[in-house]
Amino acid sequence: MVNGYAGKYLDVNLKDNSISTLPIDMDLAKKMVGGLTYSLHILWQRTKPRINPLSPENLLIFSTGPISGLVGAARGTVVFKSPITELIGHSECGGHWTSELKFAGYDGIIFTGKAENPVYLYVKDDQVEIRNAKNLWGKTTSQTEQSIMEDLNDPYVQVISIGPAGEHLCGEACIIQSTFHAFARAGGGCVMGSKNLKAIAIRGTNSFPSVADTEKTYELLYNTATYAKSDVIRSAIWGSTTFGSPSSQVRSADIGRGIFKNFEEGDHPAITQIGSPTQMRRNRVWDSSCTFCPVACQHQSIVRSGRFVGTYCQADWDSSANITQECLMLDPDGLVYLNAICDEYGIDAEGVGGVMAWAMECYEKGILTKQDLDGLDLKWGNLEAEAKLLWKIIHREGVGSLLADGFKYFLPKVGKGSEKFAMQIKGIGLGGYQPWLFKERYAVNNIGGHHNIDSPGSYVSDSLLYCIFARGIMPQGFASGVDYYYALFNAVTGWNFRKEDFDAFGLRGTLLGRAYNIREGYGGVMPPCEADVYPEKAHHALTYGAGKGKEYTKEAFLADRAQYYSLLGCDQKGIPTKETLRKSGLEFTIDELEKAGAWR
Amino acid sequence: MSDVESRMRMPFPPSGQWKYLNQINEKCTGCRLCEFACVKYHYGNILNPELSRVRVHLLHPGPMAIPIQCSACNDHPCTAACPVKPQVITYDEKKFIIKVDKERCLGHKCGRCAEVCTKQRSGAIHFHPPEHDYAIVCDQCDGAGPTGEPDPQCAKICPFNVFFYSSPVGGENWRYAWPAEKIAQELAERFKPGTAKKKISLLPSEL
Repeated sequence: MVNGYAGKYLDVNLKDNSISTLPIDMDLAKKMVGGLTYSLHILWQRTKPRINPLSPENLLIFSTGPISGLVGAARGTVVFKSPITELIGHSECGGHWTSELKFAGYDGIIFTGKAENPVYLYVKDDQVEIRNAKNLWGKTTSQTEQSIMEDLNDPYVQVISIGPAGEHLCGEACIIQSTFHAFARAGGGCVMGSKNLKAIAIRGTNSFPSVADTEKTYELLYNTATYAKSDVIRSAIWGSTTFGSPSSQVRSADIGRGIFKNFEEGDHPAITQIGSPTQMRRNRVWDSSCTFCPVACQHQSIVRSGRFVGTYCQADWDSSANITQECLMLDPDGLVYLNAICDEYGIDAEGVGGVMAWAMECYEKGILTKQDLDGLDLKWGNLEAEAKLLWKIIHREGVGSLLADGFKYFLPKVGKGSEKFAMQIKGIGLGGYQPWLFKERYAVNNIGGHHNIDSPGSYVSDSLLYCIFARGIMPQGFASGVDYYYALFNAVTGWNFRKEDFDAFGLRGTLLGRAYNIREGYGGVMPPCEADVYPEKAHHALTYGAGKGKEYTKEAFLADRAQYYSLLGCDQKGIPTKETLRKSGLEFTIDELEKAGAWR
Repeated sequence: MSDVESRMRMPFPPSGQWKYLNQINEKCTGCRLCEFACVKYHYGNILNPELSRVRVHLLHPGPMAIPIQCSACNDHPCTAACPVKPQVITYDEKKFIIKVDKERCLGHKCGRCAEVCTKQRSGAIHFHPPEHDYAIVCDQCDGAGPTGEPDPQCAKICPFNVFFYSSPVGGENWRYAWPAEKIAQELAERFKPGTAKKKISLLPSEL
């Protein structure tokens, strides 16, 4: 209970139902901070190289950082070996669970083993139970949550659960918190399903762990919260509070970074019919916040008329870009409808949207016929066919069973040149941004083509666990939100990290991620530079509207990537040198990397 | 007389004579900064929503965020339920607030005020044993104002202006002293037609 850490991780073995605690190593915490990097270190230490991601040996680590649960930092992370990339998989999610976990007195929960029957974990302060979840199996995420809340008769309990997609071991399955928040990408839900773990219910009634400088911490928190009411901050976060991240639908097309028709074009004439001002007037109900966050960037949307009337979801740019723009489905009610299915059935809309867009292009090119697709007329923008394909993938029916495995596994089976336009990197479909915008960062990302791209920087935010959407908030007199987070981190931990320290830490995290991937064989493609590449289609020139002339050529990419490798201290094959690892304090990785043949 | 009718018949003082903490439920996003400010005002530099006088319920369908705090009902049934003489939980006729004598309160083992509040009103009284085993009830931050009057901190901090501390303007809030579940149900019917039962109205398999 010091420096913002609750002081222990819960260690749950589902095989023999044993529950213990793992104390936080404060020396290690000073090096690895928490959240993503600390959990990654646990994953490195406690798993053997090259395990099967769906085997009981794989870990599923939910964890928080020292400042998570405080104002503007309601995020937590889950770390595991990904079943769709066979590399590191991690995902960050907001909501109310991080603060609840800290109030319960834990920094994180480590799951290992596989339960014989479906179970869920109930944590209430010191009372930790593995409970039978037979009656929950098959239920959707919101039904599961509602059912647990009713069983426990507690309106404050926070539930993290998987839906039918996770139960069917669908590669793109995600983990849903509080109905709308998702640990998406990389297949966390699939790993959770493979452990027969349906849900986690968390309830904490203690105080937030003690911090190094109490006065300063609470002053910072209070000033940030009250200053968020001022015109200065309100105007700075106006975009988020008014339109939320769906505003990117129009903004993306305005600068030609949209992903229409499987990344064919960056702009589209009909974008305004789905973009945020329209969507806001047509579908929005009200806004929703994470714990202690004055931004409220999430907007709940409902279909008010037509055949989907009453369906509601919390549409977000990253979840809706791929199922709408990429599949050329520009119906705002369809956006809400598909998003709601993804949330309810626990599948990553971003990942599965990419798969469906690829299938549509295959259909157009005749690589997949109507017969292959179980009679679906998968034309661009056909909402009905798209919804039915999504349903098949979730339940692994017919062609859905093939597509549910993820790009890495079905591309070789389909073949016929379809891999050239499969917009994925290392098995993960690209997010809602054109390659010309993200440049080499998409390709070199440790977990694949994720939209969370700025590698060393994102390791800092994902380990401290502050929210990049709340970067606009700060106390009066601060230059930026990130400065506020750094000041808060120092007040909470008392470690006085300077900017250089954060940079060095971010680099350490990135290198540890890369070292882990190399130890795991880099998804079967070694050296890393063979895997850190875009598919062929990513290098084509855009031709329409704001995107006209935008292009990210292969030559430019290779030059950028070489520069990035040297920035990280890697050789041109993408492997960190021993000297780099030593300099970053990662000596412990060298032996195992040697065994994996990294420098051979 | 049903609960709803009993609320409807609650006698209100003439407008302008009293102030109360009103709220617009539709605006609440569930950020719970009110809980943060409440605990900070009453207990100093600690963070524990369990001690907050205002609790935000996150309810289905939604989640919908419904902040619940003591409405300081004019007929205050909680005070009559108190078995201690003189009463531990009292109503201040001048400031229109509920006050609790922490020292003499019997705590969660008695819990009669909370019971009657849950049964008849919003259920805004709770206990946090063992350390804080007394009725935790909103006192509208009595003494926080410049001249010692009530000045609710939740209304001050709320980034979305959900709360306002004022005299009733244009009639009283008709959701006054309702429990969270009932407000959620009512909001769902008004804003999300048909969703109280089902989140997805038509499954792809039915298309």
